[in-house]
Amino acid sequence: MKIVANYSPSIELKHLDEILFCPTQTSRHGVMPFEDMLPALNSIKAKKVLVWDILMVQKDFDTAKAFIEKIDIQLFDAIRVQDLGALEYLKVHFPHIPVQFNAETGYHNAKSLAALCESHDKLEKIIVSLELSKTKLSEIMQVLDKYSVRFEIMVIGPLLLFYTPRSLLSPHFNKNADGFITVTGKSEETPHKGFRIIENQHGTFMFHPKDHLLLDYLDEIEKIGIKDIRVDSNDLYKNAVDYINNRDPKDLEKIKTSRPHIKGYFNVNKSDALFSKLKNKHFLKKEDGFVGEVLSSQKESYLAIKILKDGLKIGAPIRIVTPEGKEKRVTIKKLWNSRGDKLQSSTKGSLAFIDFVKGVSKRSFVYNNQRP
Amino acid sequence: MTPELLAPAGNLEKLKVVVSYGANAVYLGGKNQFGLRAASENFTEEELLEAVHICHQKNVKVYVVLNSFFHDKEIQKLPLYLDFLSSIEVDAVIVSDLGVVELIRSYCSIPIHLSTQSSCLNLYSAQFWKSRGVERIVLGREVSLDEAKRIREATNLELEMFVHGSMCMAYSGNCVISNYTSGRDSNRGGCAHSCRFEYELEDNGKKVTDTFMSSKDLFGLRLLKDYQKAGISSLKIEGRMKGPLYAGTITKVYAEALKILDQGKELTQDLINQWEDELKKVSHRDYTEASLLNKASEESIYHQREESSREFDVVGLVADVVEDEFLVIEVRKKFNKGDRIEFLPFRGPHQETIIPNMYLMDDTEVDFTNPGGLVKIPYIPNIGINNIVRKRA
Repeated sequence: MKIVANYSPSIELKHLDEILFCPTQTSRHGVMPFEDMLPALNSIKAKKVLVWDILMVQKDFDTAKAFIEKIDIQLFDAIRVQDLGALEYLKVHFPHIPVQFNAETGYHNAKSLAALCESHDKLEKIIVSLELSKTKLSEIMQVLDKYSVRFEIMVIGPLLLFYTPRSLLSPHFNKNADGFITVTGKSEETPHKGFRIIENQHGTFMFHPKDHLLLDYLDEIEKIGIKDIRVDSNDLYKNAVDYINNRDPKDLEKIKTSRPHIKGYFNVNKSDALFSKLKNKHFLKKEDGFVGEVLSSQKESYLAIKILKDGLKIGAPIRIVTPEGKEKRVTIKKLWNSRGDKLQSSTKGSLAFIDFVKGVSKRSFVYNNQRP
Repeated sequence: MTPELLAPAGNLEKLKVVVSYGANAVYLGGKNQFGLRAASENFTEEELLEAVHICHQKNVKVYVVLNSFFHDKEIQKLPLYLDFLSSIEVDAVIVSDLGVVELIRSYCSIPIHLSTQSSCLNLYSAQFWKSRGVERIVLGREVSLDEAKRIREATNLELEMFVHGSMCMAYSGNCVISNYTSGRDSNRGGCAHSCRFEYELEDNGKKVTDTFMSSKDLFGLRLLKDYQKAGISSLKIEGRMKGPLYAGTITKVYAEALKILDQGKELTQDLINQWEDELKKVSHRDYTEASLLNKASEESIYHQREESSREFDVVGLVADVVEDEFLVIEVRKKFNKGDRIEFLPFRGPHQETIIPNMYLMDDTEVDFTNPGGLVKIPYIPNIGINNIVRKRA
């Protein structure tokens, strides 16, 4: 497995295969301008990747583009992007530079990842989403096996939850000398506290209170077909790199006890399981013979029915389904309109009245049949 | 060219309301997990058929949202649904997932609109999507009108932009707070609106409590001419989860304004003031022009937990009209004999009346109404079925 890590002046290069350079000019989490990285860029022999992962409206794109066109791009072995505009730009203007695409946000199906693989001849790597379970990743990797693209997953690091270009903290806090504000946040919704929130020149970012940790699953990750793993936590990266190389449980234990962590959705993703509870089942039941909706129910007097589809007829059997799902079956004996005129039938679009039916309330649905 | 007005339709009732109040197109979701509003009522296939029928009779277009980030199990279900959408002749589908775009393009000929969920922000990104067969792009809410104009000129793509309503604070598609705090995938319809919550922020002992991630509502009314100059094809009103009063009022205001632009006339300050008065009558957060002119500033943050109180409540909908005799009102909120109420006709200014007397359906005279009931009030010309009835809160 190849180990990928972010550059910092204190980085130990031993065992690292790929170094991500995150200049403030193009990287959402960059803390160092490109100019300060030049000595390292000229001396480091490992693979060097320029991180250009900000999302950009046209004005920001123009600024980033001017930066890319100004620097010596040959200092880098590849460029990592998230904005599809950056991918397209590199394809058009730097067609020979290898590109890596950050697909951590979205791209949860094989078809979208395959489309990315086919989007650019020089796409060398895709960084996969942390929302994909190992089972899904395994299925997807089998489909994508035919492409020569590599895949990377973050095995330890902060979990980004929210990214906006707006400056949300500066109304309350002062920037430090480097132009950053870092605070912790506690939501009104318990027990959610300890969110790390950062504002910098590219916007505001909120992270999960716990780090994402998949170091327990390195063998499974490799078996799935993901060959590149990223250590994204600068303060823990050395322990993590040591563990990846030695697999000494003591190193892993040190990491686990130093910071709270989660494994996220790696084992299973059931984040759509609650959806059926969000839906009002009452609305799932419109079927053949639908007549309309009870607008009003006046005890011992009438049901007012807004006829939305099929009409009503004297003598016809109808079925009424209440909002709670209870069913009432009656035959229409009397039918009248708003003026009180007796009717033989009612038509779509009209307001019709029938005798009150006990247990039927407003918003019940009326059907022109006795089934099911 | 005057942009089309695209209104939200959370269900069939709301669809009829916005079509009646002047929408040129509606967007809606089916009862599945392909959209981003799992909690909305949405449309059964039968209702979708009905919706297309109603809309096409009035030359109104129907766009169906398929804009969640699909997992493979949903991709597998999609072709059958596309067959259905093709058969009922919807006018376009709104998509955010690259895999879904590829599937639709190879499977059927329904036009594809790229959802704002894809955060398409610049012209190279637009070119990427154009090369994938997308016909229209709903630009990210961060894009300014000047930038949109550049994208339009460079790509000649149809562009759609939001003009009014609630806004995500995050780049759309780049927020997963709900996924990790509520176990609900925000990019598959489960957003818990965590950005509207209050947070206690702390730095070196300084504590601040604020809804710091909450955005004010977008308000593009004063910039309609700029949208037009930028070559924007469609103006979108947010709000599939909102009620009929909201959807109807906003649609009516923007439809009237666009009609004036279409006639080549100016939107005078008097007219804008009148429309702003109307817009204040529905529940909303403070308004902002967000990034339409310049990057959204501190001013665009909404520092309150709840929406601002509305000036008016919906007290009912007109359920029946018996010409020259009476109106039947389906009562949603209590009102009394002698109250001043307003009717919002589909065209033209609202009509005010003081209720002289009210009757139940059996002609018993009453002094007040009960929600859920029907009352008859004396006939008022030019009021139609489904007109909104409101009263100052």
